[in-house]
Amino acid sequence: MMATATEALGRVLVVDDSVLNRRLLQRALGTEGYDAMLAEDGEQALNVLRSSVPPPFDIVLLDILMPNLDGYETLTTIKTDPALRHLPVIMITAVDETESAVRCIELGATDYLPKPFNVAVLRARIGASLAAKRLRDLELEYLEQVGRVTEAATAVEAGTFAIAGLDSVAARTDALGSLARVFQRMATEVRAREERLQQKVRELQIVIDEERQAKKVAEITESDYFQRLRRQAADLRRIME
Amino acid sequence: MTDNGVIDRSALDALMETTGGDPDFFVEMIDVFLADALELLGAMDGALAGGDAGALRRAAHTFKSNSRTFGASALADLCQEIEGRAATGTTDGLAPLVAQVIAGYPGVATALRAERPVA
Repeated sequence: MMATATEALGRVLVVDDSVLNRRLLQRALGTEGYDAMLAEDGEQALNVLRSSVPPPFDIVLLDILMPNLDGYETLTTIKTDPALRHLPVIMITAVDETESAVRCIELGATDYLPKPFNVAVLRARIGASLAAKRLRDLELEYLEQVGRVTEAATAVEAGTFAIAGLDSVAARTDALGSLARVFQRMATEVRAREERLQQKVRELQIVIDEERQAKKVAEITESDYFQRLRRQAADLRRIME
Repeated sequence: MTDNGVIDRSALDALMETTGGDPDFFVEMIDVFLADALELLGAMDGALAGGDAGALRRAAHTFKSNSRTFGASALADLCQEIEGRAATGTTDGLAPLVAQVIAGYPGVATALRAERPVA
């Protein structure tokens, strides 16, 4: 019984031109709890691997001798493609192909699986390769989140920092998460202080404007011209009476 | 070994373990082997006739692998030799080996059919 995608231990792409090997590997992987997809040669495999970013698989099991695009060419293409090169590749090799397996490991393959394969060996090699991949994925995620904290520091200086932009880093339970939370709290406090200062500046501005206005009024009302007009107006009022 | 001595029973036991002990799937795999074998033998014969060393190498490689999976060691060894010699880029001198593979296959097929439960 095949494991469903949601409960699978991992997604494996099996690349082999032998229908027998493909079916056997698919069954064994399914029994072990993996979700296996099949490709008949290197061309098909690359098309499937490039169908989405990141690639929709955790690991590739790759035969060497295949029509169209063989295992060496496929492996080389995977290892030189920035979007695929971190994908673990386990070569499927016959017992008499040790030299080929060594060559593949030199080209970047993670390991090799001798065929006819043994279920315990398959389980051990897939498990070890996936554990290494997941560790690497965690390292990459950590580095990416460190980069976001660094970018946040630059954004604070530029006045463009958005606190919510660090939410996913702040959700971590490790030291980096603590750092992000402290950073968010400090940024919130700095922003609140800035807003208080700006409010103060606005209030002071109003006072200054009022004083300026009063001064201007005084300047006008105390001028000789105004005083003369005022006297003339008083004279006129008396005449009118 | 099986009754006619061409199949290594321990390989069949290992294969049964690989299939998770599912007899239906085991029989399905025997059928896949038998169907594939006719195709691969035809490909080997055709590649030999056409002097296509690459095609001969690939067909011999796949048939070697399939034969080892089912414990047909003699056929697998012959295919391994064909594969190795074809890898040098020539089919010269390989006709007798291909003929031996073709001659040896019916015994393997009979032994494997005998492993299928009687309907």
